[in-house]
Amino acid sequence: MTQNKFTKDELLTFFSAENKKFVAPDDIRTKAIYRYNTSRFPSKNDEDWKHTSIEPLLMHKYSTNVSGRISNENIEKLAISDLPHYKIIFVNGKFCADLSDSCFAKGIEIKPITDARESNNSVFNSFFEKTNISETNIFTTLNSVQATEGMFLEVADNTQIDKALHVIHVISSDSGKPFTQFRNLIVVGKNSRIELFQTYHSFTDEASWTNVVTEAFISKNAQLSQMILQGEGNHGMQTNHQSVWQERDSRYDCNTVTFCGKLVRNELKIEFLDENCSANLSGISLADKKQHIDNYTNINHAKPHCESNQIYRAIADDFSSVVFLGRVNVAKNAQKSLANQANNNILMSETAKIYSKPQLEIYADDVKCSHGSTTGRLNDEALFYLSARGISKDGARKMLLKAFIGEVLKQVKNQKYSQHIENLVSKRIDATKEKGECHK
Amino acid sequence: MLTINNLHASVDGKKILNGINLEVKKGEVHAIMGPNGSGKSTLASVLAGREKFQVTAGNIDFDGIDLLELSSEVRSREGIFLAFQYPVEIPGVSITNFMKAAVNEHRKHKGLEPIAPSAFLRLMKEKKALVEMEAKLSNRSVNEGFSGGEKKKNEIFQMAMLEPKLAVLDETDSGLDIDALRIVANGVNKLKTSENASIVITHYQRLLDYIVPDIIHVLYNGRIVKTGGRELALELEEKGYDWIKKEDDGK
Repeated sequence: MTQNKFTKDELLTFFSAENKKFVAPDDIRTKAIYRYNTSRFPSKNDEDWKHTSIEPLLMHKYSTNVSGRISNENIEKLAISDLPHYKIIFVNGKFCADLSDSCFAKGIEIKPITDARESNNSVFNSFFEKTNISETNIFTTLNSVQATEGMFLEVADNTQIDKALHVIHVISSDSGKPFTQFRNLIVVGKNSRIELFQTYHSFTDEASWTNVVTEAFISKNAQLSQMILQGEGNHGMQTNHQSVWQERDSRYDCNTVTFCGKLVRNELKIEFLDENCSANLSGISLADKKQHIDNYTNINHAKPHCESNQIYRAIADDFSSVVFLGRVNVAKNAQKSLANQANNNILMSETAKIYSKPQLEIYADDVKCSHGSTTGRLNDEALFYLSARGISKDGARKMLLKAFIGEVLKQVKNQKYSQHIENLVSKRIDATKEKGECHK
Repeated sequence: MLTINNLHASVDGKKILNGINLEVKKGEVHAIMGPNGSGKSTLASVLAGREKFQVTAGNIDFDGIDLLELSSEVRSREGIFLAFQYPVEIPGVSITNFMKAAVNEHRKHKGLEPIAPSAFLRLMKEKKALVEMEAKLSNRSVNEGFSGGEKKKNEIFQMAMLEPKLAVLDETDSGLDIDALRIVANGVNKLKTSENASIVITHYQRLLDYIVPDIIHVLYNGRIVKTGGRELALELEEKGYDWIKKEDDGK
């Protein structure tokens, strides 16, 4: 076994030594420190972590003071150009006012989360840690102890935003391995609608760890569409935990695309607080080399007449591994619940691994729930069919892979965004090499 | 155009074709009939270049080229077309994109530039009309959720798009109602010229009322055991395959 560079205690004091301004208010932080000290790291014995080893996170000596600047020109390259948006930039977790837009549509308040805390913002005070997200696991606990950076987003009631918010996260390092603890608080007011793109990029070949914790509250009849793109490179690691609470008649859409990552773990928990809520989750994981991508979802149908849809697809190549664990809970009184879940995976090499575990727990008797999981190689029949029309084996393979991912993108309502992702996926698939023989 | 000489083929070590000899000249329509399991579909698959089947002996000459040396995609570009017995559903790939890719591969093979978008749309429209295919079908995923008739029409539509020298129709009549059968057969007849040829594989005589073959072969135990004119089909319709089996087994 490799020697961990970081012990649990060292991790706790890692940020503390610098006497920084923390995101969490003192009482929450004190509780979190206690919780951290009495918790342990998840291991393979924990059901939810059975296939994801956290060891890679602890193998590096990170540094707190990583310097890395990003030019405006590079930011322009990262922004989704043909989509109108407001731009908000964070580099190594730190808000970059000079690179970000400063004027937003009426009703939108967006700022570093520490500003919200210091100004004694009433929304911050009433919503921060309301979902008890610190208690999810040791990484969320750690975030509550140590996070010094983050984003506060408040959308006032009855706000219809003219453009999407595009939050760009960049990791950059001249020397040292960046470790970022990032905390988001998103509150969408009644009858409001907002689109949020969150993209993660890396400009370093150093190992990095980004530990993101997000709480999102969607008020009555409001809609939040969240599109997350993770591309922190071959050495980037990300643990991402999000808790979403939905009020009556609200809608939540989340599309997560993971292009790479040494270790990526996304946890997404949805709680329907009242009737007639809907949540639509979709995910695309493209893993190769020795990457590991894990998506964990947990939807709690606590109230009647709510709907959830999930479609997660992955392509695993080389020595990579991909995990999907999706849990849907339908409470006893949650009649007329609709819950669909699908997970489909394609293995492109003999050495890649897929773990898929759909779980439904239903306590109500008048519900419609489905789940399905498939894992396999590309369909030989389809490959032959295409080649029998003159399309090369390599062309046929790429066509089928793109179509496989394209089915997920049909779930994304913003067509310009899905086109953008489709282009990125196409480029990625076109760049892959043919490995004819091992697929027989 | 096509000369098959002493062709032997097997799948997973099991011998299926045991010495097929067949000559098809341009302008001809050949029918291959035979009981289930006689090797009809295997012959079609071997012609199209399906890798699952191993050719253990014999050779196939197609207009002077050694067909067995070519991969399935190159065979298609050289002018072999297989209409599948069971067309495959391909979710997420639209017929339009599929055909555009296929047509351009064929053009590239002939040293031609990719087809212009407007010319392509015209071509699609013209060929869809040939098989009375609904216009909106081309935006749908290939064969996904198609009825049996739509799938077979789609095969003949693709054949029309690619204009093969030799078309192999594998049980194209199976699962078709009489209207669809008429449309599919009409399509095939309209595509017939003095320069191309087809091999129609079928279990039933019914299709041959619509597509009139010049020569009929009966396949049994992986060999052609009888060859004749149209009257052979009528005889088979009347007497079934048992007399052929008896005759052959008696040898």
